[in-house]
Amino acid sequence: MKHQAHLLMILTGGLLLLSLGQSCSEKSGEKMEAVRTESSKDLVDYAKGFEIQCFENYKKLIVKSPYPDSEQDHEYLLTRGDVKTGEGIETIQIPVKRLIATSTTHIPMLEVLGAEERLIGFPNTDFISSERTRALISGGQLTDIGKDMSLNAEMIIALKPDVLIAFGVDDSDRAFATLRKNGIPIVFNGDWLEETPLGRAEWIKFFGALLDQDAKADSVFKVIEQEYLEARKIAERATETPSLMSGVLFKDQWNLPAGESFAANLYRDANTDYLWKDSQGQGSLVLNFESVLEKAADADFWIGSGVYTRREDLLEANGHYAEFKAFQNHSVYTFSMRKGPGGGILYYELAPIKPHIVLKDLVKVTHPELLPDYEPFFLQKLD
Amino acid sequence: MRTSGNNKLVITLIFLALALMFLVNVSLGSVNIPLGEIMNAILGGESEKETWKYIVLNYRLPKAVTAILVGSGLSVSGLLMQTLFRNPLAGPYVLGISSGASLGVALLLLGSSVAGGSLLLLSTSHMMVSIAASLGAFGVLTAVMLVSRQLKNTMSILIVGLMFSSLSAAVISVLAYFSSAESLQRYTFWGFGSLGNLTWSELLVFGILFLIALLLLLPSIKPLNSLLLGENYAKSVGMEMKRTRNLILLSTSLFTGVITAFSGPIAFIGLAAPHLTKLMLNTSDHRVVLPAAALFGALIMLISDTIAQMPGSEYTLPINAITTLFGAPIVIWLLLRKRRMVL
Repeated sequence: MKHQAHLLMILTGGLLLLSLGQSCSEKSGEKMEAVRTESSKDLVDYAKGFEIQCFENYKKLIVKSPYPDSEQDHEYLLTRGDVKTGEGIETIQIPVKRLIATSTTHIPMLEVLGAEERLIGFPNTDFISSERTRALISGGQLTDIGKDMSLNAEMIIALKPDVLIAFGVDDSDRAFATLRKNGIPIVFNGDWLEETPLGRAEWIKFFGALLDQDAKADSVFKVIEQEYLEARKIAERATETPSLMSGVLFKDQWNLPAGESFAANLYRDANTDYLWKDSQGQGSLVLNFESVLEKAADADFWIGSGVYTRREDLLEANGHYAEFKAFQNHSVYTFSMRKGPGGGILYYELAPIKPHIVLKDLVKVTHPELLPDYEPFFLQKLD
Repeated sequence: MRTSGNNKLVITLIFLALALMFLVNVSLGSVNIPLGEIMNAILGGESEKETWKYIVLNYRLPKAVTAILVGSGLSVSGLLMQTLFRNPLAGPYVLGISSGASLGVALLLLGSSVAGGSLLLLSTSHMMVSIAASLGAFGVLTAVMLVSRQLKNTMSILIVGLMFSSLSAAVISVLAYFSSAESLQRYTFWGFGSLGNLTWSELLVFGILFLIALLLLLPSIKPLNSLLLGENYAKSVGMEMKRTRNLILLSTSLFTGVITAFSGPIAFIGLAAPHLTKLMLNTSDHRVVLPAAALFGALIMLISDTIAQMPGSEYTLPINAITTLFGAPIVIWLLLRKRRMVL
């Protein structure tokens, strides 16, 4: 009996695997009996923050973590043409032709899907570093819709976007209420809340659904997934696991990633010993200097030095940094070195869609012998 | 005679409490270091762990010394302002002098990026930041001083102080809007300064500037007593009003400016400490009140810092949260009992 049960599990597992990664559009060509053709599990594997459900002639986009501690899922119907769905929730016509994005992480995803020209507005365009999109800014096709986090509602209404892709810590922006009243759908993108690098990258499928390019999004993600898993396998070959510290002091408080956070997951996948790997939480820890020094004085690597990109800047901010072995051994690295023409940090823009590069960077730095010919892209040593 | 004896006793007690608190502050922290090891480290012996020795000698000790300088400096400048304005609610934080110091630094760090990079080279040193902060403090202090001559009402002056800190905050946010991301970062990181990030060499600079402010103050301690009875009285006993006032203004802004430059704006100590001191003493002679207020301010600051470190835990609270918990109730209490206030 036990054996049979096992066999059954393997079989169903195999079937599940077969259907993994299939997109709505692939499926929609087939004859479908059930109303709901495919469960979300099949479309989204790693990301926990959203689901895509395919129905016969429409899709349902469910954003489960639009912002931290949200109590309700946000649901949208994505329809082509005039479709009666019978569901009384917000409907967005796809493919979306004119959209406004609000985070630089949205830019590369649009570009990969060949849809950057559908982007008509962005707040604080200075922070966009990608050349392709920068060309649109200088060409006047892309309007700056407000500095900082405050969106200029008037300009947005005048632009008449099909949808606004928002991100934020809550839904309290007054501009959102105004825009909704004017019939502009607001869809929250919670990519930054994902705890795993692949989960974050998978948000490309969110854009795929909106742009009606599910198949393309899916194939792009498959490549990322494959490369990431490969890099992880390479890291597993390492014989030693160097210890890692992270973060800097801000106001007597040392901020560093918690044990279940995105960064901690990356460090784990790079086969390193992140000193706070056992701590609880997905956000960051706020510790004091003494406890960090006690724990990490002898750490091998210091990954992520906040805003500081030079050793002297670190020391000027706080002389105590010199007490760490990683600092003395010139093993302090930062992701913030590469900047775009407007001062935007490339890592912030590109890391979500290039988790494999980030992982390889980490592997190269912490286990240089495993990737002899690789040149890190994001992760640079402080000079 | 008996009263002066009492005052001596009070000051001695405060001093002893301060010494005790100093030891407590150095002994407690998030890392649990045995008392023997702490003494060992201070007395220059070999420590069991190298990090322990570093934490005691180069983190906790400078932090405790910083707390003493900050606490006593703020308390003294609070006392001076209360006498000068003849107003119990005067204090560096409440009257917007600390915000003025922040504005000075913002103009230096952010303004240079708006106006071009020429100033940026200079702006890195602590000395420059201190000077900018002192100038900012001096500017706001003078402005409040001028306004307060027109308004005798305590409440109105408080509101004026509030307006000045809002004004400073507004100017800073406008500057921030136009300045580059990089200099904004510099400013943000400065603005949340703390007691714990000074090394011994930075502390030395701090100490020297502190001493200068103190020296400026010494000649005006005696005339301060006559000021308590009003400017007219002070004039009638032959006091050089202008010179005394200028010296006090200068010294107060230097205190506030330097402290703000090194440790960021710290709330309410300057207001609360002098009042609590005066409650304990039965004299208003500045030769007694001033040193007592300095000691007591240092004591409160050390206690606040010890609490903020939350001994035994890995976490730490913002120091301003603690000092505000101390200070804000005192402001309310003062407003409620205003009629019975003794200056």
